[in-house]
Amino acid sequence: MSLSRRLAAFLLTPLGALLLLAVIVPLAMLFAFSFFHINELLQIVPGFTAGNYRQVVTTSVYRVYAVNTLLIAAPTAIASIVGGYVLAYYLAFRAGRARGILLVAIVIALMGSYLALIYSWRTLSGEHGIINSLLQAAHVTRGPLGLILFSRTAVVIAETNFFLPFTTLVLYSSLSSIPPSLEAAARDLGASRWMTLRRIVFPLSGTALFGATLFVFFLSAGDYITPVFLGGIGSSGTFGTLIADQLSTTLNYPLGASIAFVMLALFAAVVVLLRLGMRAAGLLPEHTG
Amino acid sequence: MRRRRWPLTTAAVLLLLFIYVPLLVVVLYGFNGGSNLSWPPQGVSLRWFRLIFGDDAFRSGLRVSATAALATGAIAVVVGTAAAFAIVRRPNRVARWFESGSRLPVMLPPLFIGIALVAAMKTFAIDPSMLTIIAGHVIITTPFVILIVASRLRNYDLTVEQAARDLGATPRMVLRRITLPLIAPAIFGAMVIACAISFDEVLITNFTSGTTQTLPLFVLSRLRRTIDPSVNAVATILLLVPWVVVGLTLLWQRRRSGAAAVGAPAEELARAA
Repeated sequence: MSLSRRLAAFLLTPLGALLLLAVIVPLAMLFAFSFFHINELLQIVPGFTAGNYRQVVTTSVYRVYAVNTLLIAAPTAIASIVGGYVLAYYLAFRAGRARGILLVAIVIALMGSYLALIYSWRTLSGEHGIINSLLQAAHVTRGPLGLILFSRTAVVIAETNFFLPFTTLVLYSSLSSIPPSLEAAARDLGASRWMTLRRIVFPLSGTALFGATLFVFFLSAGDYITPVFLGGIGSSGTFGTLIADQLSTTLNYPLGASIAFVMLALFAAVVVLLRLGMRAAGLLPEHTG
Repeated sequence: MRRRRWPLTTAAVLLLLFIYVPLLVVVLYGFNGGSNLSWPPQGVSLRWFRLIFGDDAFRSGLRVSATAALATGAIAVVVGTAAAFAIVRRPNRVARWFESGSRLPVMLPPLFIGIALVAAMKTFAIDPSMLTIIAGHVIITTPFVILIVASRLRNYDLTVEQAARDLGATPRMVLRRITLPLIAPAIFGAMVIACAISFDEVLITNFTSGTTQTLPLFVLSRLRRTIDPSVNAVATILLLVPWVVVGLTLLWQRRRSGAAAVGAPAEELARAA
């Protein structure tokens, strides 16, 4: 039963108000703030200066943060996508009767606590942590291994752990719409296993791959808690931690706002590059929006 | 055609272990009798739970988080369900615009939403409070409600409604007696998911809460110190509350309407990207 125009407008009003008041206006204010500056008393002075942006683009220390962000977000995105693809492929084509229960397990893991995971990786990976003491109790190693805690690797592992259920579900939803007969047909026509994946399965799930990769990449780059608690000092400062620091430590809010928009611009560049790359590889159709 | 299945199966099992072992370790050590976080755990006890439930900061955090979660669930489900109806039942350009616009908050890092809310709060001189916490949570949970309810409305047999109309039901009766009961499990499931997300949210809340401390913020403040075994008990609660609620909901829906209902919220969640 379709709705009258007036009723539809009425039903969309709360969402419209929410998006306007709690998302669009705040983002516009954030953009305005990025052109303000602070005085000696750390008060925010309205005005129009491109000084913050100039500072972000020209100061070399921000390049270190950019590189760190890339070195954390890119491996996290790749690991989450590869792992998620394997799991989703298994769920879609091989899981059989176990599929229902496995899907529930993954949805429940998706509801797993972000902070509990960070905490868990801290207790697991320390020098006297659970992994080391388990290895010693099992007489695999004698002394504690210098494990991964307080490094970029630790951040990547924990974030991948957090994003995997998500990428699995996105990719599963795409893979499960591919009829298994397509794969069978390709194999019957003599395509190798790899060829079938490369020419049939990957392109048909290309849009989901594209979306999920960007999603994980962007959220990982904006994560400001995992790098602080699992990363090493100096090697794990990301744009996320940098922006959060401007708000909580140095209190230079306008600078934090401008870093956020520089990050957004860099992210747009990543979107364009990934799209071009995936098109060149035949994983995305030539003309999608 | 012979297929070698074991490499894929092994990889899938390992990945599931990778997802679940860290979560289970938290729960395991939440019930640990000793105070060393090393292998093996020393006996089963509730001492850490007793300890944290004796802590005022913890109890107030739990209360704040529960209040925020329930309020967020209620608001998000009303806003989201209303919007989902309009989007599915009057699919025009405006509806499509609203549908993609509603996904924006989920595609931005929560940090951005958090600092944008700070900008708005500074501009309009709004002090951080329970209201600003809930506002932040509603923004990121409403898209999930829309996804889940809209998907249910799309995969739904309209002939039932037409039959009711042919038999003389008024539109209001159709809504009350046919449509709402049919989509109720999806609406309820969406609300539960919204509550669960809110209960655990920390990246936005950190900026919108001021001096109010939610349970995740309580954990965050404890994480700043050295490893503290009582955090395991709090983290266990952070994990188990949403798990139990979501798990029970999924089981209940499955019993009501077959396996499809379990897959539906999952797949719809997935399409959020």
